[in-house]
Amino acid sequence: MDSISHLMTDDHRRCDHLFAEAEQQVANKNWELAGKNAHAFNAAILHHFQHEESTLFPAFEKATGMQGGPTHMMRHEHEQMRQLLAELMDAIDAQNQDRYLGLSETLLIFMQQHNMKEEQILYPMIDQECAEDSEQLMAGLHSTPENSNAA
Amino acid sequence: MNYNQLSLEQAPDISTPLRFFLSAPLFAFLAFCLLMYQGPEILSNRWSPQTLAFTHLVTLGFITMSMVGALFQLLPVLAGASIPRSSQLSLVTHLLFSCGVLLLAAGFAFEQATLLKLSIIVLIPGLLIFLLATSYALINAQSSHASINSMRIAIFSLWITATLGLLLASGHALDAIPLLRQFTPLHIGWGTLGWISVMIISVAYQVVPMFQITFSYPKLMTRLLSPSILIALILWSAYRYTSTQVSIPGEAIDLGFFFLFFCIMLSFALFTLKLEAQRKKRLADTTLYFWMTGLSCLGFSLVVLLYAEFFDQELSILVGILFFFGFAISIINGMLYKIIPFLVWLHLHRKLAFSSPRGRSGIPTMNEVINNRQSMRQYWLHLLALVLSIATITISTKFFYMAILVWLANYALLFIHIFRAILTYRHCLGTK
Ligand SMILES: [Fe+2]
Ligand SMILES: [Fe+2]
Repeated sequence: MDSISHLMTDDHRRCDHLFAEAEQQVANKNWELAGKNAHAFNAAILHHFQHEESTLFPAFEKATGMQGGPTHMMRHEHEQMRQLLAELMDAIDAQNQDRYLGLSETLLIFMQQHNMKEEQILYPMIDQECAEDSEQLMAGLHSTPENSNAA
Repeated sequence: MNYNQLSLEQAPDISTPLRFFLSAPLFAFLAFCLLMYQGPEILSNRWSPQTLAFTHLVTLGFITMSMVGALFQLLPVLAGASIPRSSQLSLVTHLLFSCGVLLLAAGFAFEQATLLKLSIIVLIPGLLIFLLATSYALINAQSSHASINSMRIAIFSLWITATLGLLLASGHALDAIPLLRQFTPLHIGWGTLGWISVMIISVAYQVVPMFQITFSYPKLMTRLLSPSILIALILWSAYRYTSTQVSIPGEAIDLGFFFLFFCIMLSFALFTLKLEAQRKKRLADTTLYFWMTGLSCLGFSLVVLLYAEFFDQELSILVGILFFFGFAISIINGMLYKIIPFLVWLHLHRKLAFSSPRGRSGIPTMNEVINNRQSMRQYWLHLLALVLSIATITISTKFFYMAILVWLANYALLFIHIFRAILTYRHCLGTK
């Protein structure tokens, strides 16, 4: 059976792979492909945040009546990651390898500990609390691909 | 489920884990100073009090010290399991634990029963505070990830290891209490397998797939591995205990458990190496080298252990070197190079990102906190020291002092790296 947990976890993995491809190309100084990959990664993860913030988190907040709890913290971490991503995109556009790899290492760890908290704690809660609307909530992730071209 | 307990963000003060991480290389340094003082004769007597002083400086002072620091950091973040008053508790535990380990080592090294008695008095509250706090947090943990269950098993094993250790130490220190040598194998078994290995396994479940971007460990494996170590340890302890009361023809049963542990640990080592070989993140860093070295040494230590069991008991020192320094310490050392720069970045980011006029671009990235080239230098020293230690045992004790000098340089350098990271942190806060 498909769950929100599964779907969102798969999307994390998809972003991870895009991240790894971009990093590899930066390491090779293959700037053209690196730029393309890095921007694809940036778009994918921003779209993922967007889906969480506009669909999943509000549904959870409504179901539990909690505003200041875990979802608040996750939004805050998204904000921190958006800053890192913006700097990362500056580094790729400037073709600054050291800066990019320094930032990407930091982002990777930040992103992974964030994902870990979502996958192990928050998503299972959302599955439990929002079981009735799950079809609708899941449809949202891929139904707005135009957002992913924002970058 | 009580959602209010969960804020997902209860990361402790930066000093909470760092005080443990900064102390660890000092204890290792001290351990090798002791070895230097004792000279190569120490190798000929595995159970001398001086050997016990050395092993406890390493296993408690470096290994347990860093794992305790890591738990203070990881439990709230990964498990949503907050440790109440963690910064005060870490301060007290760290102080008691450090003093306790020093007293214990001094008590063994100089064969002073008074120092041993003092160490017991100090270690009991030190360990008890830590064990009670983590046990409380783990009981209330929100996450049901296999990694958390493994941590529960690790902490349970530390309870047992510590209890047996205190019994043994009391046997050394107090005339009224007999030295129950039959507990020694149990103390070692629970310590090395239940505490050190299961703790590393539980961290691997989280860290390997996420930081190297690999496939996950198979569910079946993560569900079975640590619990089977636990069950086997319990059965083995029960068997060992009863066999001292009634005589059971034992060799075969002991050997059975031996093979069970052998297979469990080898499958963990090989599977993790396979995951790392297939990792998506191709770019290698110091941490990855340490992990690969650690897992290979675990494999070697098991093979040598098997050989030693049947052919050459003398090789058990080699097993110890490969297991503690090759496996456990390599992996911990590698993890320190990820955790410390990340904590520095994270705390600076939290404090400065929105307040500093220079803004976020003034915050050093992880690689600027501890440079990969620097940490690789320490990796090569670690590897050289390992090779020299193995040569000391297998080729000639001529390598003894050379090995110790390289170990001393190695831990001095690790200490400097951690210390500099802390200075960077202070400096950035000071110039905001
Ligand atoms: Fe998120
Ligand atoms: Fe997410």
